[in-house]
Amino acid sequence: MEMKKTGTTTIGIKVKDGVVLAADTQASLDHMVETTNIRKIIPITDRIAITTAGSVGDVQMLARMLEAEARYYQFTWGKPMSAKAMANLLSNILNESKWFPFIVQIIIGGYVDEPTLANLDPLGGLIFEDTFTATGSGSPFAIAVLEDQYKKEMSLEEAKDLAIRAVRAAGKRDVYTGERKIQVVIITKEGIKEEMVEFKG
Amino acid sequence: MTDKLKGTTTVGIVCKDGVVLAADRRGTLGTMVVTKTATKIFKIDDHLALAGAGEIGDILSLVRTLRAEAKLYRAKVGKEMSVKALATLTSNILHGTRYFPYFSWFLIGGYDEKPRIYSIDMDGGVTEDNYVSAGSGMGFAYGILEDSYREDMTLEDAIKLAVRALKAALKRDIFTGDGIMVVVVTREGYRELSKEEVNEILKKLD
Repeated sequence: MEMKKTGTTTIGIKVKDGVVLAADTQASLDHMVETTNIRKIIPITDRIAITTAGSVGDVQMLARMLEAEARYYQFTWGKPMSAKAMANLLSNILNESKWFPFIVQIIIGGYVDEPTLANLDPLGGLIFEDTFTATGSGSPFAIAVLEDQYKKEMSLEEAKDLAIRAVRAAGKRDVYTGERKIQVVIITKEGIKEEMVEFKG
Repeated sequence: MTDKLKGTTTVGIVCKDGVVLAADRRGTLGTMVVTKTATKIFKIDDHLALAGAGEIGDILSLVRTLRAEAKLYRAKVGKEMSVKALATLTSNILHGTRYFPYFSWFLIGGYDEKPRIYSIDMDGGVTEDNYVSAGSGMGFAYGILEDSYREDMTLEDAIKLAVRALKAALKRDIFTGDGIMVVVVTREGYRELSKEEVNEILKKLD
């Protein structure tokens, strides 16, 4: 089946001051590079974002569902949905569709009450991570760099640099991961900051 | 093909003063660990080393052939084989058994006029590079190498990098484990690092 797939490297790092999400920006259609300018990290609220790996259409659908649910939650309860709640909600949605699953690997990162990082598989398997996580075809390369250099006491700036290095290493060795442009999202108490980092050559 | 070469991570790095080869020590039969002290790096001649990933019997068999050929070459030509010669010879042997192959992936490193590393796949495909890796954990190792390799590294830096690459593979690849063997080949020749030396490097990394 020809399907727009991201064939990706996305990573998430949790440190004490927040969460850093990073991803490459290449999308592939079978063996063709479809675009080198896609955003794989999608903000859901002003404090929560998810990363895309797998079917682009599926993740975009899920993002729309989550966004609506988050608004509805705010209306109903008069407070923002926590990242933990959203991760559980997403896990439920994914598991409900067990017989016609969303083809996705999602990392969810947020800072509502506390820094939160979680990893979801297509059937809703939910793992809250205390340190770092990576998904997508290039994840072995990235996870090795993170395993090698992650430290719990890292500052956000250091975590951001490490995130970029990890995605870049994957970009060099995984054909489905682009290495020219990397999207980085930093989530702190103050909110979400996005950055596109470009490399030449 | 790489799924057949499970159970190992091997790494080779070229630096200013020599080459470093490193491998884990786990030997598996299917999903069972059968030995925790496997040797996957071998001395072929004074300045020639080989690291193998895959079927251990196939690796040992090829090592015996190469050792004999290296000796024969010395007798005939009066000097040690170059690294390239050994790589080409290995490639020829592997390609000659294309339809009844050695199920292994080899890294050949050594020092002739300068340090060199070659990676040779099951069909005899040869690539020379500054850093190479093979086996089920190669993805993890390449992540570290791609991030941290520098061309002007000292031997000490290269050893440290190789150990770091292996360490990540040990942690994240289930078929890789049970310690690290490190070999350096310099102008002075082949030398295997002692367990204590490797432990010392590992300790400094934490």
